[in-house]
Amino acid sequence: MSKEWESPNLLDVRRAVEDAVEGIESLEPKGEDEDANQSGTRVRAAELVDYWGMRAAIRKRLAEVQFLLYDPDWERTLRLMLEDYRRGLAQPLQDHWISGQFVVIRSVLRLPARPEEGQKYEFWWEQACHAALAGLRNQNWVDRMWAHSTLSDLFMVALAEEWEVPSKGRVSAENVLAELKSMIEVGGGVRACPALWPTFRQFWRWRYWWTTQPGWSSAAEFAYDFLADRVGVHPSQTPSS
Amino acid sequence: MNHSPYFTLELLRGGPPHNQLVSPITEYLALCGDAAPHMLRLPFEHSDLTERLKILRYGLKTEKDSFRQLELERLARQLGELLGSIPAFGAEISSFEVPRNGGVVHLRLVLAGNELALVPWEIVQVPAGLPGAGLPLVLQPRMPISITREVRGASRRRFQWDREPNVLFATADAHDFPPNTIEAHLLAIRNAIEPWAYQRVKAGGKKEYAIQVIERVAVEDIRKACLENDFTHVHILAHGQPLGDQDGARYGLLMHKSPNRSDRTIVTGDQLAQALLPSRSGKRASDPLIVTLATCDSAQQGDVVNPGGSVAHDLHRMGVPWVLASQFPLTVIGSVLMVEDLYNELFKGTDPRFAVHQIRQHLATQFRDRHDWATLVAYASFPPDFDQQVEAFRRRAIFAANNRAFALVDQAVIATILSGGGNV
Repeated sequence: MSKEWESPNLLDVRRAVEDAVEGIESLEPKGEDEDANQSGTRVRAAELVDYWGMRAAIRKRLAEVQFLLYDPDWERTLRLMLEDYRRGLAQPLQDHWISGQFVVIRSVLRLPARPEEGQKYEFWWEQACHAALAGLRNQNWVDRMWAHSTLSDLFMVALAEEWEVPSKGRVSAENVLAELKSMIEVGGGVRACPALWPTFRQFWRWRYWWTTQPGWSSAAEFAYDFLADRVGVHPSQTPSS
Repeated sequence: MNHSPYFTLELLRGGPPHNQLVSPITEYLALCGDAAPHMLRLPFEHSDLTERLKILRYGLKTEKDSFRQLELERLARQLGELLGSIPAFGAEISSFEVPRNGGVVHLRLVLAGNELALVPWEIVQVPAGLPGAGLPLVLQPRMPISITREVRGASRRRFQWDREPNVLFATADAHDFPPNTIEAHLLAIRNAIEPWAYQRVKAGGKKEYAIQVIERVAVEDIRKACLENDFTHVHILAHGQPLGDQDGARYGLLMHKSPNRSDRTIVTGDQLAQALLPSRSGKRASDPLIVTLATCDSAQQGDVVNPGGSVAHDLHRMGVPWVLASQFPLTVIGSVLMVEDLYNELFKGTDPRFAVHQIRQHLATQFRDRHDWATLVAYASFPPDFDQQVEAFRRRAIFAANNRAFALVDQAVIATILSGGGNV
């Protein structure tokens, strides 16, 4: 194993992540700062969404290292992460990142999500799917690339929950793979795609950590292997630094 | 955002800053906060003070630590009575609430007159009648207070605190110090800057520590390094050495000559300032934010008759925003502790006023028979937006910690995959 991939001491990693969580928590907006409706600017709303999304992302890393340490607290940490996403969803301006990750984690935690009476889809599921599908129509290739990444996540949720995707209906593991291929193509290919590494990491989570539901295990395996081949991370290979 | 409450105490007199001995007949104008001016006289003769300072410089060469303790307490009490005689001083301190969620009350000491720099203000006791009376002002827990010194006009200087750290560590020959001293200082800085080493790390990439080390340093090396780089922090480890043989001589830094490093030279504060702040063609002048002098006597005024001051004073006067230095001899252990605490806090984005306060408390905890806590002197500038700048840097530090956390977890997961195929 090359030196770059030697495992750091996991307790040190946990400490570093806990420090980072503490730091980001110290930036929590207080009082009227939190309500972008009050501050009345799109910029402020975007900042708040970014804040809650960043906070959830670092908490996800904490849950991940807890999982690696066989610490059952990871589930509690994911619940706190869900609350961070919920705070992000309370802002007037969001994109598919927050809503998509919200429905992912909610599904991972097996929390109930039912459509309201008279509705075909659960509210946030529908919002996340529409936001991601709208992202595919964005002029900016970066936004389109990330929309494909989010859709691959959402299709995993659809498989687990046995939900239909608005405008697409039922999806399968092939649909997950198709989104990953599109993501890489839009992102400039294997060597250039900025979303490739983070999406690979997400599918490690699907494959080895979150696979608690049979609906998505084979899709997780296919997608993970597909991405692992492309980033060059297999036990028989060492990545170039 | 936290705003550090502060008040200013200016001690002024007429005439040039030099050529005035400490004397009880010299009147100073004390301006404290917004209160009316108060006239003040120091309760010492010059020779009285300088002789007493020798005791605080561990000059008695005796096993009896009680002399040092007695003199420290006596001088501290006199200074407490002196500041207590300023009507507004007690009123200013009493007007503050204890800062919630950490933080300190900041006492900005602005001294016009080099002889005032001789006085070890940092040992002052809380004046009678105030909470914590009789305790060292900077150590008492009732109302955390941090003292900085300032050259008049220094806070008109504009600088940018919110910059990614880039450190120059310049040290004299390793044989000048006990074994492993340089390594201990370097390790402390490296550990503190660790979160910043991941700023540009991609998956599997190498960390980059923004530290440049110059050993057996000549002042020309510092100038060359500052011409080529934008350092934010400069850490200098060297012995302090008198510039002359006379009693009360000023001190410089014992460095090396270039190109023959075996030859030594004593570098003055002015020389060092010129090396640290050179103008550069095509870009703005070198502008380090903090210079830390891990050097005994680097804040010792010494001679007051001739123009100029201690190394720390001169650096600050020439434009270095923050200078941390020692007014008395500093132990090696104390210097390592100071380096560890200082850079850990600074690179986390802690307000430097609070960091200095914490270091003093830690030094006071560590040593029974030394007053390293009082040795530390901070010369500092405060532009009007300093609080906002400190907060901006703190946010930057938090995002650096985030980058590090992301990179470390990536590394841990990938190592897991490569060792076992992904399964935990």
